[in-house]
Amino acid sequence: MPETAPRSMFEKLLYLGIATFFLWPFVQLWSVKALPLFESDGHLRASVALENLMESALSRPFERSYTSGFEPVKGCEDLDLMGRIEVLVHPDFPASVLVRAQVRWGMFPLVKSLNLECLKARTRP
Amino acid sequence: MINRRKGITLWELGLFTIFLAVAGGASVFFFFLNSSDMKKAQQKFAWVQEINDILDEVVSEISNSVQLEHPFNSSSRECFFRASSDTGNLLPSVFEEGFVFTDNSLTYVSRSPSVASGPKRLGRFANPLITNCRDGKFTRVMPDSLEIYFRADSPDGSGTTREFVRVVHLRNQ
Repeated sequence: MPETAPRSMFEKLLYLGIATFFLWPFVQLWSVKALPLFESDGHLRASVALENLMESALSRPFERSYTSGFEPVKGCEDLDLMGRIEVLVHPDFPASVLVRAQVRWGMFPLVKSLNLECLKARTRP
Repeated sequence: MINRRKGITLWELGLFTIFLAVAGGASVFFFFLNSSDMKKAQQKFAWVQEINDILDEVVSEISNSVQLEHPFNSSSRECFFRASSDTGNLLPSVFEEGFVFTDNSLTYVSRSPSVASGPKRLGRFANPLITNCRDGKFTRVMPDSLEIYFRADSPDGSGTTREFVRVVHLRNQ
């Protein structure tokens, strides 16, 4: 006689039910994005810093190509927020330039970044 | 040979332990979610988000203005501009709209020859737009760039102060 008999289908369904019962709250948390993984306040500050970076990039004198390295964003040193501006010729429309602002923060395996792009024409309407 | 009873196997024991740990962790976590600390943090986040929504409106109003009149080169507590009308033509320069930091609040005002400084509504936000804000100023950092800066106090009386800085690209300058 074997030491243990295999579990029946009913018992396996019972295990599945118990597992669902325990894990369902976490599924719900995931669906409402309320997991503390998403650091909401830092995210909000980073998005505002990104908008400010984009506005200052748009205020710069016109250039067809410009790339800055990642520099610390003023006022967000506690987040270690780094921002970068890129200006490049649009690959499809050579008369326009693409302005891209990028911020990133967080430690290496959990680096978060936000990007914002804007198309800028040389002539104003 | 010993005839054992059908007992619980090792992997079932492991599974049971994991469930127990998950349940314990979950109950602690849900108590934390219900705690007053978490509620305070949520209220603070809602307050910051509200101010940022208002600032989004303010920035879009200033950046789409036809001509920025008042902070010409340095910083000021007021900002006045000539807004674009619905029909697209430019109003006379005596009709101006603006934002003013007065009495620890940010107010949207309009001035015309007949009315000196009438309070006005900005979109879905009523005057005063932001209350409990200090050291508010508009700084012209570049000919086509304006900076809005102020510090706001949390309305729950906890003494929390938060700095808000917005850069506005003046698209029509």
